[in-house]
Amino acid sequence: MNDNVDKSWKLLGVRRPWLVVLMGLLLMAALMSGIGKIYKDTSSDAFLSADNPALLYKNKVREIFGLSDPMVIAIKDASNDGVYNTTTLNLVANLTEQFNNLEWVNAERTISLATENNIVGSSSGLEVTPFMELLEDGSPSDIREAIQDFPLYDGMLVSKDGAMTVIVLEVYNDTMAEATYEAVIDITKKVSKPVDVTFHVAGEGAVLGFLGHYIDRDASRLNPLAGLIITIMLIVAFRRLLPALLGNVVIAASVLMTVGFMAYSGVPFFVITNAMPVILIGMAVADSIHILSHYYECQARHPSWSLKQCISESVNVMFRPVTLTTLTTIAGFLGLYVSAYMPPFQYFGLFTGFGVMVAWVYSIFLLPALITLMKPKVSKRWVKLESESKSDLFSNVISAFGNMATSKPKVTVSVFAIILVGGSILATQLRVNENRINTFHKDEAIYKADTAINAHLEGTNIIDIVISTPSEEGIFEPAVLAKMADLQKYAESLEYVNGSTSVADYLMQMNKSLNEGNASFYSIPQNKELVAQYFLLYSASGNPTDFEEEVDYDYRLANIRLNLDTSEFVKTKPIIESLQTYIDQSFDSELATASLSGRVNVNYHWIKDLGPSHFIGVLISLICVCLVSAVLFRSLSAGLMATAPVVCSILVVYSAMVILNIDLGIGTSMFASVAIGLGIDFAIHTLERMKTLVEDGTVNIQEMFTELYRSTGRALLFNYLAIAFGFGVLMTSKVVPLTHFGTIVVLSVTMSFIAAMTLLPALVMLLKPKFIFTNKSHEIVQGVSPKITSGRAASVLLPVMALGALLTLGLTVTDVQAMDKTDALEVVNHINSVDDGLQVTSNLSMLLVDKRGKERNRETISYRKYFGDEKKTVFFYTLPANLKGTGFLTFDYPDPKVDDDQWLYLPALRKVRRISSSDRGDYFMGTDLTYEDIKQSDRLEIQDYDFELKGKEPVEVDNQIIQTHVLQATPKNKDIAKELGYGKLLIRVNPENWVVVKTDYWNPKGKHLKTAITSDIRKIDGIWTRHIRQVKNHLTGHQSTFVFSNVDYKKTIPDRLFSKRALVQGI
Amino acid sequence: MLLQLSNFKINLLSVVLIIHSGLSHSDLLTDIESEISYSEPQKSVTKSDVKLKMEWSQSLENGINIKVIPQLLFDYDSKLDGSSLNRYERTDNYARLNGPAYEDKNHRLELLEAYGGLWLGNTSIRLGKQQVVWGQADGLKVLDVINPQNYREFNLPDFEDSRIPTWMLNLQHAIGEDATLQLLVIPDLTFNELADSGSQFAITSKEMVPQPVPSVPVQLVDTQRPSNEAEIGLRWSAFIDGWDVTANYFNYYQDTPVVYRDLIGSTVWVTPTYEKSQLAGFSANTAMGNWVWKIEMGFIKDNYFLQNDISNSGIQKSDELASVFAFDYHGFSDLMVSYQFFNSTILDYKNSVVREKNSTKHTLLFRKNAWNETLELKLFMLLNSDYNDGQARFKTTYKVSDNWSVFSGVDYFYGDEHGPFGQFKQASRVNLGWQVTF
Repeated sequence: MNDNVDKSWKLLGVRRPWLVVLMGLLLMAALMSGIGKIYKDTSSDAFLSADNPALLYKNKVREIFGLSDPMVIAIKDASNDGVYNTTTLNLVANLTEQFNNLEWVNAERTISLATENNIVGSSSGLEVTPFMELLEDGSPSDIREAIQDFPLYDGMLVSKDGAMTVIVLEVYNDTMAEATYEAVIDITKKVSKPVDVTFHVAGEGAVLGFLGHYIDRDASRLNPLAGLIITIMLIVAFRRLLPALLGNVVIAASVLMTVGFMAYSGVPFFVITNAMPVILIGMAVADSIHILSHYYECQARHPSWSLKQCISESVNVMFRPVTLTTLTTIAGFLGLYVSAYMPPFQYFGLFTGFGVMVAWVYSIFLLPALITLMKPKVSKRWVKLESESKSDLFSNVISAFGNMATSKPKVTVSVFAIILVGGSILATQLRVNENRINTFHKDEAIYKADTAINAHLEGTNIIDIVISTPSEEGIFEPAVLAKMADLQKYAESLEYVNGSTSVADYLMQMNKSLNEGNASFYSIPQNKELVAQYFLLYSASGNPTDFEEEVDYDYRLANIRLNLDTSEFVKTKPIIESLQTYIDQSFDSELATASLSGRVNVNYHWIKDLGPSHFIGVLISLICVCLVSAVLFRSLSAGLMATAPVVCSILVVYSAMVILNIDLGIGTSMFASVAIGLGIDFAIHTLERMKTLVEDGTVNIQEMFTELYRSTGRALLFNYLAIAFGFGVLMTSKVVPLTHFGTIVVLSVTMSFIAAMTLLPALVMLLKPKFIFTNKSHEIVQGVSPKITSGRAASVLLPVMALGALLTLGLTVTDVQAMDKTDALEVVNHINSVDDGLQVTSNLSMLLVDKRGKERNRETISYRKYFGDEKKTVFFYTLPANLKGTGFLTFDYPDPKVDDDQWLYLPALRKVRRISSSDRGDYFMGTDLTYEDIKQSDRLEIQDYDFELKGKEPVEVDNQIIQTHVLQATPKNKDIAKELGYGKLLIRVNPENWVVVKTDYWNPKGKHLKTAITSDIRKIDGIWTRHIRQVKNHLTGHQSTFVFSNVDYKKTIPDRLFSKRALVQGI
Repeated sequence: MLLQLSNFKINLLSVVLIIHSGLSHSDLLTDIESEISYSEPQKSVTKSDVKLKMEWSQSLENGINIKVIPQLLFDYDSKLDGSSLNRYERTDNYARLNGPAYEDKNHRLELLEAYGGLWLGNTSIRLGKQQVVWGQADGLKVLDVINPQNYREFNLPDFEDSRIPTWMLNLQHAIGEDATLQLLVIPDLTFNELADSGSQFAITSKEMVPQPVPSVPVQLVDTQRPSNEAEIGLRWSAFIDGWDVTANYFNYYQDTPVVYRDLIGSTVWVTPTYEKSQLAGFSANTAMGNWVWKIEMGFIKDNYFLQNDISNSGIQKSDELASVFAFDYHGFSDLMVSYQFFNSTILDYKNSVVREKNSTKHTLLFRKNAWNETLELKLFMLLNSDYNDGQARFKTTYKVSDNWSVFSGVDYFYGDEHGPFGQFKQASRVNLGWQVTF
C-alpha cells in the first residue's frame, strides 16, 4: 500500500482531517445548541396520540366538570382518636389553607375536612355548614359523628377507622405539577405537627409532579456512569487512553446531537427517553471499536506501514460492515417507530435511529480525522503478540468458545432449535401489565404513600363515568338518579372499587337530613320537583358551585367518580370491561347514556393494545432487518441467517420474562426493537467477515474460523461488552421499568452475541451458503477491491433509503378525521377575501398603557402595496422623539412556506438590520399584538388553524348591536400553538361585511390571554376600513390602542419607499 | 484657532442659508444625555459629561430634505483628556472643514451632521457632512471604514456616536426593483481622533504604537497629511433570492497614521504618515427560520503593520484579508443572541511584525427586551484570541416614559495588558446615566 491516500470520499477524514474536524465540531455545536430548549412531558397522556378518542373524551370531561388528576395528601394520626382531635383537625385546616394559597392549585376544587360541608335538615330547610364549624361550636367527636353519618365522606374523606384523612388538590395545568408537588412537600416538611401525625403524598397528580424530578435525578446518575464504564472498557481493550477519549467524542456527538435535534423538532423528553442517552452511549461506541481495532491490528501486523496507511486501510475495510450494521440497527429502530402507536415509543425509535446515524457519520469521518491528527500508537504488547502470531486473552477466550461450537455444528444447531421451541411455548404465557406507581422504586416515599393511602382510604385511582341526558335538568329525573345510584352500587361491588361519588349521594344525604336524619331516607327523592327543590334549598345556605364536579351547569350531564385502590392493568381491566358491559345493558335507553372516562380508563385504552402492538412491532422489525440484510448480501438466505440469532435472543428473553415474573409493560415492551437493532450487528459482522475472508482467498474453512474469532470475534466481544455494560447501567436505574428494560436488553444482546459466534458458524459449516462461498465474488473483489466496495455500498444504500422513506411516508399519513368544516372554512374565506386595497397610506398612532395607567404614545406613517401577489409594507416612526426615523420593512410572500423578509432600521445604528421573521409570536414593538397579528391584520392562515363555527353572538360595534358569527380557531398542533403563542381564538365576524369585530385569545396553556375589539369601521374609497383597534392583555394588564387616520387607498405610493435605502433615508 | 473659528463660521453660514431657503416642514428634536462613570481600579470618577444634541430637519417644497445636527458637550472633571495640552495642536486628524468648532478642556461644540438630499427619478443625492455605514458587523470593522472614528473612549461608545461624519457626495441609483449602485466622493480627508497620550484610553499596546527603546533619543516629526485628494467609494447592493448582498470598493486613506521610524545618526526619527489603501469586499446576509446569517469580507490592498525592529522603516507593507462570519438567533422570545467570528490575515507576513499573522476575535451579544419594550438588557462580550484579552459590556436601559430613559452598565476589560483590550484594564468602569429627548 502506498502512502498516497486514495481519493475515495470515504477517506475524507484522512485526507482533510482539519476540515472534517472543524465541520464535525460546527455541526455538533449547531445541533447541541438546541439542548436548552428541550422540555419534559412525563404525563401518562403523552403515551396516547393527541387524537385518541379515550384521551379526547377524558379532556372533555375535564373541561365540563373541571376535573383533573388529583394530588392526594394523606394525614395519618396514630393516636387513639385518630384524626378526630383538635390539633390534627386544625392542622388539616392550616394545611388546606397553605395549599390553596399555592399559585397553581385550583382552590375551588380542593377537597378536605376544611372545605367540605355537612348537610343536615333544619327548620328552614337544609342547613349546609362546613364541617370545621362543628369544631368551633362543639368538639372533634361532633365531626366524627357528622362524617360517619354522611356515607359519601365516610371512607372517602376520612378512613372508616378515623386514622387518616385526605386533602385532595387539583392544579390548573399539568405543566405546573412538578412545581406544585415540590411546594406541597416543602409545606408538609415545614409545618409543625404532633408526633403521631405522618404525611403521605400520592395520586396521579403527585406522580406527574414527582416523575420529572425523578427522571432528572436518574439520568444525571446513569449517563455519567455509562460513559465511565465504556471509557474504562476502551482503555482495557486498547491499553491506551487516547482511543477511549476518541470513542467518547463519537459518543458525545451521537448523544448530544440527538437530544439537540429532539429539542429542535419540538419533541419532548418523555419518561422512556431517559433510556436513550444510555443506549446511544453503548451503541455509538461500537463503530469506533471496530475501526480502532482494525487500525491497531494493522499497525501491529504491518510495522512498515505509515499510520496514515493504517487508518486508510481500516476505514476501507470496516466501511462496509460498519455501514451495514448501522443500516440494520436503524431499520430495527425504525421498526419501533413504525409499529408503535404511542408517541414516546415512536420518537424513541426515530431519534435513537438518528443517533445511530450520527455515530456512523462521526465514526467514519471524524474518528479517522482525529486519528490522522493525533496518531495514536499501538501498545507494544499488541505488536509483540502479533509478531509472535499469538492472540491475547480476549481473542483466546472467544476462539475457544467458537471452536467448541464449530467442532460439533449439528449439536450447536440442535441446542438452538430446542431454545427456539421452548421459547415459543413460554412466550405464549407472557402477561401484559402495567402499573404506573411501579415506575418508582419501592423505597420511594411516593410509592409508600400510595400503598398507605390505598390501604386506609378508598383509593387514589380514578374512573369517571359521565351520565348524559337529552334535555336540561334531565339529571333531576328520579329514574336517572336511581340508575346512577344502581350503577354506583354495582361499581362498588367490583373488587378494588372502594367508593364512588356523584350528585345522587348528596341528594340522598339531603333527603335523609330533611327527614330528621332517619337512615331509611338515605335514598333518591321521589320526584323531579323535589330534586330541584333540594338544590334550591342547598343553595340557600351552601355555595352553588359546590356541585360543579358532579353536574354541569344546566343539569344535563352528571359525573360519577369511582375510587380504586389499584391502577394495575390486570386488575383494572376486568373492572373497566364489567362497567362497560353494565353500561351497555342499563344505559341504552333514551333517558340517559353513560360513558367511561378518567385516568384508569385512559390507561386501560392504551395498555390493552400494548401486547398486540408489541408483537406486531417485533414482527415488522424482524422483517425489516431480514430484508435489509437480504438486500445487503443480495441473498435471502443471508437475510434469514442474519435474523436467526436475533429470533433466538427474543425468544430467550420472553422465556426469561415468564420465569422471572416480569410483565410486558411500557419499559419492557420496547426491548425487542432495540434488541433486534443491536443483535443483528453481531450477525452481520460475522457473516461479512466470513465472506471477506473467503473472498481474500481463505479456502480452508477451519482457517477461516480461526481468523474470524481472532480478529472480528475479539472486536465483537468488546462491542458486546460495551453494549452490555451500557445497558447494564440501566439495571441500576431507580426508574423500575428502565431496570427491567436494561436487564432484558442485556440478556437479549448476550444471546444474540452467543448465537452469532456459535450458531452462525455452525450453520455456515452445515449449509455452505452461496453468498459466502462464491467464486465470482472472489475474482471481483480481489481485482478492484475499494471501488467495487464503495459502489456496492452505494447500490445497497439506495434501496434501504427508499425503504426508510416508504416507512416514514406510511407514518405521516395519519387518520384525517373527515369532519365537516365547510361552513367554518367558508367564513374564513370570506374574512380573508375582505378587500384591503391594492395600496394604502395611513397614519397609525399607538397608545400603550400599562397596568399602572402609565401611557406611552407612538406615531407612525405606514404604507402598504401589493406587487403582484407579494405584499410589501413599510412603517416609519414619527413619534416619540427617541424612536423617530425608525423604519420597519416587510416583504410578505404568497406562499406560506416561504418566510417573510424583514428589515429594521434604527437611526441610532445608522444601519439596516435584517431580522428573522420566524418569531411570529413575539410582540410587535412593545404593543399587545404579535408580529403575526400585525402581518395578518385579522386574516386567518388556513395552514395554522382548524376552524369551527360556534354559533352566533351579539356584539356592540359603533353603538350598534351586530349578530356576529362566532368562529373558533384552534392551532393545528402544539408546535404551531407554541409558535403563535395562542392555544385558541374566538373570532366574532360581522356577516354583513366580513370584518372581524372582536377576537378573544387564549394562550397555549388555556389561559385567557387578550381581547381585541375593533371599532369605528367605515368605508373609505369603497373599502371597509377599521379605524380603532383596542387590545387588552388580561394576564399583564397592559393595553394597546391602535388608531388609524388619514387612510388613503388612492394616493400614489412610489415603489422606492419599499426599499432598504428608503428606510435609511426616511420619508 | 483662527482656522477653527473660520470653519465654524462656514458651518453656521450654511445653517443660516438653509433656514432662509423657503420653509415648508420643519422639525426640531433635542436630545440631552448625561453619563457618569466610576472606575474601581482607579477609585475615581472617570467621566462626567452632558451632551446636548439638536437635530433639525427640514423638508422643502421642491423635495429637498435637509438635516443639521449640532452638538455641545460639557465635560466635567473628566479623565478622558490627557493634559492641559492645547488640543488644537494635536487634532491633525481633522481636515480643514471638519473638527470641533470650538473646544476647550471642558467644552466642545461641533457640527455632527449637515446635509441636504433629494430624489431625482431613481437617483438619490445626499450632499454634506454625513455618516455612511457599510457592512453588517457590529463593533468590528471590515467594510465599515467610510467614516473615521473618535477613539477618545476607545470602542466603548456605540459606533454611531463615535463615527466622525465627513463632508461627501453620496449618490445612490436604483437599478431595477432590488438593486442599488452607490457612489461616494469624499474630499474631506479627516482621520481617526485618538485619545490623548496620558489619558485613560491612550493607546499603549505594542501592536498599535512603537515602543520606545531606552536611551535611544527620538525625534518626532509632524504627521504627514495627504495633499488635496478625494476618497472614492463604490457599492453595488441587491436583494437576490432572500439574500442581501453587496459588493464594495473603496479607494481611501487609512484612518490611522503609519508610524515610520528611521535611524539617522543615533536618533530615531518618527514620521507618522497617512497612507493610501484600497479595499475590495462583499457582504451578504439572509434570514433562515430563527437565524440570520451574515458574512462580510474585505481585501485590503496595501496595509501597514508595525515591526519589532526598524528595518524597512519599522513597517511591513502587506495586503490583508479580513472577514466576519456571524449569526443572529431570534428563537428565544424577545431575546436576540448574536455571535461574530472575526479573522484577519496578513498575506505577506514576516516574523518581525508585531501582530499575529492571523488575528481572531469572537463577539457574543445578548439583547433582551422586557415589559413591553420599556426595559432593555444588553450584554456584549468580546474575546481577542491573539492576546486572550477582551471586554464585556453590560447595559440596562429603562424607558421611564416616551421621552425619558435611564441607564446603567458596566464596561470591563480583561486579559493581557499588552493586548489591544487588556491595555485598558485600569479603565474598567461602572456607568450611570439618563437621556431625555423631546
